Amino acid sequence: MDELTPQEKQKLAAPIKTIEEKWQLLPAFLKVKGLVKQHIDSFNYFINVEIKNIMKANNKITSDADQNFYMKYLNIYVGMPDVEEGFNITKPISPHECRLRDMTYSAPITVDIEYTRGSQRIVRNNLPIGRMPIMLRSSNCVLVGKVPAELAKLQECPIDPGGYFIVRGVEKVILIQEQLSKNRMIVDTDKKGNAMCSVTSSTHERKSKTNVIMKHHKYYIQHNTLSEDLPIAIALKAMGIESDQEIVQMVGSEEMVLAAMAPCLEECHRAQVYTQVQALKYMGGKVRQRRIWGGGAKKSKAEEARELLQGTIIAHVPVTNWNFKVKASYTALMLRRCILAQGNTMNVDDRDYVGNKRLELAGQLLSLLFEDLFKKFNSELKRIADMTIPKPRAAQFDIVKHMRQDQITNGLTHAISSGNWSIKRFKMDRQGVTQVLSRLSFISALGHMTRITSQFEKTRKVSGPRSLQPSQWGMLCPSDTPEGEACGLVKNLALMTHVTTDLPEESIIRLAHNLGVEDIHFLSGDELTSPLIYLVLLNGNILGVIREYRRLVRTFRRMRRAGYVSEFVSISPNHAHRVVHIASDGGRVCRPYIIVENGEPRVKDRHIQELTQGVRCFEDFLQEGLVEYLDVNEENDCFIALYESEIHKETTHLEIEPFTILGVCAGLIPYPHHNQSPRNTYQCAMGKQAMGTIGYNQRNRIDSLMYLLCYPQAPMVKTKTIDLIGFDKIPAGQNATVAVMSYSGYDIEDALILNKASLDRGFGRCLVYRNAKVALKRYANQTFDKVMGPMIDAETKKQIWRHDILDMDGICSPGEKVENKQLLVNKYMPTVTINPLQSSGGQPQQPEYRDVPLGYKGPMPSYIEKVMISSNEEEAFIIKILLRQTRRPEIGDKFSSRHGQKGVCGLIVPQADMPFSNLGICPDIIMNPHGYPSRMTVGKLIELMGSKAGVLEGKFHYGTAFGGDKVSDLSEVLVKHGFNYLGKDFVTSGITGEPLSAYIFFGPIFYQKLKHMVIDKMHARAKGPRAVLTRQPTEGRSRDGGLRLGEMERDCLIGYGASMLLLERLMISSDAFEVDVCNQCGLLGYSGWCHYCKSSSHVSSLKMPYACKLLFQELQSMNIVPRLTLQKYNKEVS
Amino acid sequence: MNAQPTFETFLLFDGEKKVTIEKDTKVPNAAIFTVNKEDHTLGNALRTQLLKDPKVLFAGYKVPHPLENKFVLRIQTVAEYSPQEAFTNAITDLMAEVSLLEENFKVAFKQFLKKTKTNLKQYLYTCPPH
Amino acid sequence: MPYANKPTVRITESTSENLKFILEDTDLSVANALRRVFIAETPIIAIDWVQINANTTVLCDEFLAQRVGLIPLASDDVIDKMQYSRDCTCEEFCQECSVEFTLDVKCSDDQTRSVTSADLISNNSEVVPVTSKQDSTQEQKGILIVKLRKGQDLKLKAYARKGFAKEHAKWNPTCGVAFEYDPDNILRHTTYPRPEEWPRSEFSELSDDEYQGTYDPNGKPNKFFFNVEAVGSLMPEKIITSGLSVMKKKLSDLQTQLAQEIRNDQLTIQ
Repeated sequence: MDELTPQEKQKLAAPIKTIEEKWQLLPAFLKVKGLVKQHIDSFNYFINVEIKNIMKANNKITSDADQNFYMKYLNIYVGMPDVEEGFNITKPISPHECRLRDMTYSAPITVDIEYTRGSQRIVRNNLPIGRMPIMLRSSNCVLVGKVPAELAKLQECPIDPGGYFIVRGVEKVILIQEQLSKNRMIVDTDKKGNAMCSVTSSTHERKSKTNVIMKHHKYYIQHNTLSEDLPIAIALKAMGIESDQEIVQMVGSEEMVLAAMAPCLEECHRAQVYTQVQALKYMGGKVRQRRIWGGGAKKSKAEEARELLQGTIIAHVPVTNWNFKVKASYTALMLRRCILAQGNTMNVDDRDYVGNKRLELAGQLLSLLFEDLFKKFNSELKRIADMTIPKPRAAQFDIVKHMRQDQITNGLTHAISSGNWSIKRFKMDRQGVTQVLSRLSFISALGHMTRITSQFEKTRKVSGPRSLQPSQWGMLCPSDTPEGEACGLVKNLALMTHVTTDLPEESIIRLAHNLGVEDIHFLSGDELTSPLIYLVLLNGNILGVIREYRRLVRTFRRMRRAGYVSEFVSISPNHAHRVVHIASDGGRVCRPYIIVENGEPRVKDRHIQELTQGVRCFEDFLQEGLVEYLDVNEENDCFIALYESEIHKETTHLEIEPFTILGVCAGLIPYPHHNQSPRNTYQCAMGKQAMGTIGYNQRNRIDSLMYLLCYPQAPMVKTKTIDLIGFDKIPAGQNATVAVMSYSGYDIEDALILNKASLDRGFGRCLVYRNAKVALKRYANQTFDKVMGPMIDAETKKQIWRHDILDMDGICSPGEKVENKQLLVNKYMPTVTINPLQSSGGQPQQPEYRDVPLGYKGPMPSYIEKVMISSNEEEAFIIKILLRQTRRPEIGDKFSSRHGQKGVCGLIVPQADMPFSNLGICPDIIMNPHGYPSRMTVGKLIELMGSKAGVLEGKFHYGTAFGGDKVSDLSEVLVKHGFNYLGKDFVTSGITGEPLSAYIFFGPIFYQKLKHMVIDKMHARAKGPRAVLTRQPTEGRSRDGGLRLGEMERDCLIGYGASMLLLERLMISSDAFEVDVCNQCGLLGYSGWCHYCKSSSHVSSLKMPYACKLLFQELQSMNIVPRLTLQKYNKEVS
Repeated sequence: MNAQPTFETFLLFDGEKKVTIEKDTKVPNAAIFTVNKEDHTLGNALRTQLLKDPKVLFAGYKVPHPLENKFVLRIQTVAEYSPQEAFTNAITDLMAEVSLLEENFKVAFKQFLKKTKTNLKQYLYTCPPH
Repeated sequence: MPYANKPTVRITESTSENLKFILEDTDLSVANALRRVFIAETPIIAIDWVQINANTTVLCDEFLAQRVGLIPLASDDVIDKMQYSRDCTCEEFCQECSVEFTLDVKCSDDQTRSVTSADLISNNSEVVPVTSKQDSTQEQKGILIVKLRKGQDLKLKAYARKGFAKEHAKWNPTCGVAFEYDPDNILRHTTYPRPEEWPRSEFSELSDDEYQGTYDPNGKPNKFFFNVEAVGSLMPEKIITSGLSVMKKKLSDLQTQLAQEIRNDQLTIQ
């Protein structure tokens, strides 16, 4: 509280207005949770809670070989990140060291076990079983709870949000995966338009999908393990509901249901199934033959069916003691849904509804992977035990000696670094789950952390999953989605979204029963479908029924606000289905709202005041029941007012701040509510390509590619989001004075005119850092790579040009300028690395070396910024060299404003030629006004006025979405300072000195320099390298390749009849080759001699593409003889 | 990085001429002058100066391309007067004007100082109020 | 000189940073040419060559060199005596064509040390950063080049050369050159959509209830209001006199070259 700046003090002293200031909750929320809270919460839950559950679920290993042998896990821990330096010496490690040294930021996983050795029972604690990559800023990260000064000591940026992993020196994000909720019924229509109800059950052991379908007006259960669809009545009978009346009553007693049920029951009777035993037998006949598991007593078909019914079909509904009551009710409910939805599309569920979706985060994905690896680890131990115990041994079998760490370690690191998530148990094989964190700019990194990918196929042409869903309001950003094939499938979280983690169900069940929910076990079928009651479901499982659902919901919420239930448990009635859903599962999206009671928000001025004074935090708001989280389903049961003025009697909640419906990327746009919607989407994509500052630790980073702006500026028109995410501290762009006018014709198609003097002074100047990396390895035969000093020219006694920048140690020295083809590291590698060297006369032979230098390649020279020498995890030396280029904008470089208006520089004009205002002000950028009418980016116009007013007043203006400073206020400021109220200026041409006949819109706009620069793209070739095999020019800029005259271009030339040009382009300029062809046998000869005819008499020479010659020879090698028949070209064909 | 070095905007290449004259063959008494390493500063001023000459029938200039540091001036005159003469006269006139202006400015500045009764030295070391 | 204008000058305001004057009886093209010359072709001195001997600061070498180059140097007294480096007879740098600067700062305190233009030491007392020349009574901190933390140092040698802004903006002696004629839009060179909404020019001679002068279809621009704002390297009046002589030199060069060309032309024809 002591170190308050005058502005902050002023802020504290200022009176608080009711409506304006409630946004203060937002920084408080972000302070508690951080920007990537969802990732970190999820990972914390995994390493602190879920991993223990996994351990408990797989805690015992026994051996078939020894009945007395067992090993039991007592506890499992994930430690703090460390690194093993030398044998058994560990030291804590910082994330930045991992980045620099290409190591994995991971912590040991240790277990406490109890096991038998011979006849002894031994307890061992803290045994390592592997290493877990640690998410930055998670509870086990060294950065947690550190203040900025401490972070600086660890070379970490205080603004960096964390939430990613560092694996082998690469920052990796586990993307949020979106999928349909597990364990919930979804009613859908199949191809024929028949209703079907499906549920994907997921438990720790199994994942399976069960469908209830309709075929020929009869209903069936469909499941993978059944070779044939099972009539639903038989299935219910197999579950012990033997009476037909009971079956019908469970499904419902409406006329429509009765009518639909009749054919099902009829079919059951026709199959002569009347009892549970008969049903199971019938079902046993349909069970798909599975691969026979080795051993195990052979079970009867009926038994097999019963087991299937218990554990596999609708697996998430638990069956204890073969009591199928709950599962039968569940099946009946599925059937009922189907019947009700038949012919009534109203009752069909929406798959795209966000309430039916769950987000899978890093923690969940890792727990799946870890459980798989842990099981594999245990089965490996069991296998070893089975194999080793029977063998007579001197030492007793000690399982601890066989616990190898690398399996789990490698499994986790491989999965994260490759992004391939394959979990055999669930038949899951996903690619691209992780991505390299994009560090182009701070925003791109942040945007990467909030990204959500969908499992939906990109190629399918369905609009539903891609289109904007009304239910994603406030949860997912409506603007931030890529264009093109992933459009609408890749989404981004909104600013205040929270993703839940799993919560224990027991207490909720108890509470529900206490609140009057009648247990399903005590109810008959008729009572379940009674129109008087509502069914209560907890996470998709039937809990019981309630007569007065309203009271249940109300009391439940009250309990939650009072803190008796976790704030993330949601309860919401669904009147169409007559059910009350209670959800405590992980992956639901939710966001906080202010609670309104009796037409009055519970958050009062007083609270906000306390918040700004720092005596109250966001958690207090939750605990006191002023604010609560609502998930998408519960939102549907609430009446939420957007503004305080809209509150009336029925209102239940108040929005904290409307701009939070946008995500981080869209939050940068000033006045986005004045723009055409796609422009905001374009800007979301472009903001990620803007150069700027990537973090406070950017100078300590040695990334493979890094773009920095020389003079980044905070935008003159800010948004509240900008303040919240700290974009004004590490911005990506500059406030350029823009004149919206036409100039010279080099500004068509969105090209920009830049002022040369501005460029001289540093506008748009950027630094491009690249790295070069080399590792000095040791080989199996005790040889190793080495670095040699520079070569000296014999005559001049100077280092040869290629080695000019090398130091005496053979590594380039910092500060030097390195040009194309010069060496950075003069590395030599032994020629023999596998076989041991032959020793000659007792002494080991000196190995021979061959040079494998690390050279520099590039059209422009670079400077050596720094050189790092260290060792990596394999204890090989690594040398990392950071190369720097300073680039000043040139014609063809790409710029964009924050409104999706990109353009390349079309011309650079000297200051004297630039138009100027009557104060002598020249613009930095001239933008063509044709960019406006079709794009309708009115926000940009207002931004200009805001910036101009801000410049005149010396303050930042705000362009926050759905708010921001009003145009009329900005106009007033402009007028006060003697400017036109529209932001237009009287401008004189610099070339003639005459005023322009029009008034020019003139003022600062925040411009971003995008990463696309001509210098990285320009390419031309006259002649150059050719591919070895075909002798055709190489492809691609990186190989100095030619520009292809493609098929369509070829078609044009054919159509035009330019045959000689065609011949030149396709053969002479490409792979012309002189061949000798024997006219007698039609085969290719060589230097005037036909090897087949053994004569030179009929051989003539001609030109053909080398590819053609190659084809002939390849055909010959396949025993096909292509023969050429030659003819004089001017001879008539007879 | 690809851009031309900035000295190319004012420094003649080796062997490059400042001015080249090309006769317009289609029209009598017309010539096209290409002035290298000069821009609108001289081009525009010379053009207006030429237009004041009643014996000049046409005078116009252009900068053919923004990346080429030159301007092209086309002059057409009456029969007994050559474009070369017109051009030379225009330059002379313009020079006279600038010289006069220089004189006038120096006088005016001295007068201004005297009028404001400020000692030159004192004035030099006082900073303007902001 | 039959068609030469006879321009007159009236100075209205003069400070060390600004010079306002009114130019009368000349062409728009000439007035504009002058404005352009002030901006682009009036020579001053600026650092153009930097040798960095030690740099452990946060900014890279090129970045520092650019920053050092942009520091305005007081050029008033020497600019006329000095030669352009490319015209000088010397090999690289000499007293006639360059001024040497050195900077050697090391931070050994716990506090952040600001390296400013005041740390640039010149070998010519007449050419120093403008902030160093100003009165010591005034609190002038100098222009910040870079900040050092403990242990960082910066050592460089630099040469300042004469040049003009066509080459690089660091040789621009002006901040802005305001230029205006026809404050009441009598000539209608511009179109005010609604004249009453338009802010009035400071040179306007209209009464308060008028917003735009009456249109004069035959009028020609004749009276030019200039305001030359200097960055400090040259006094504003010096910019003008220097600019005028540059203009004169440009014309005389062109004249001699043209005369030569005409002579050559005639020779080839004969």
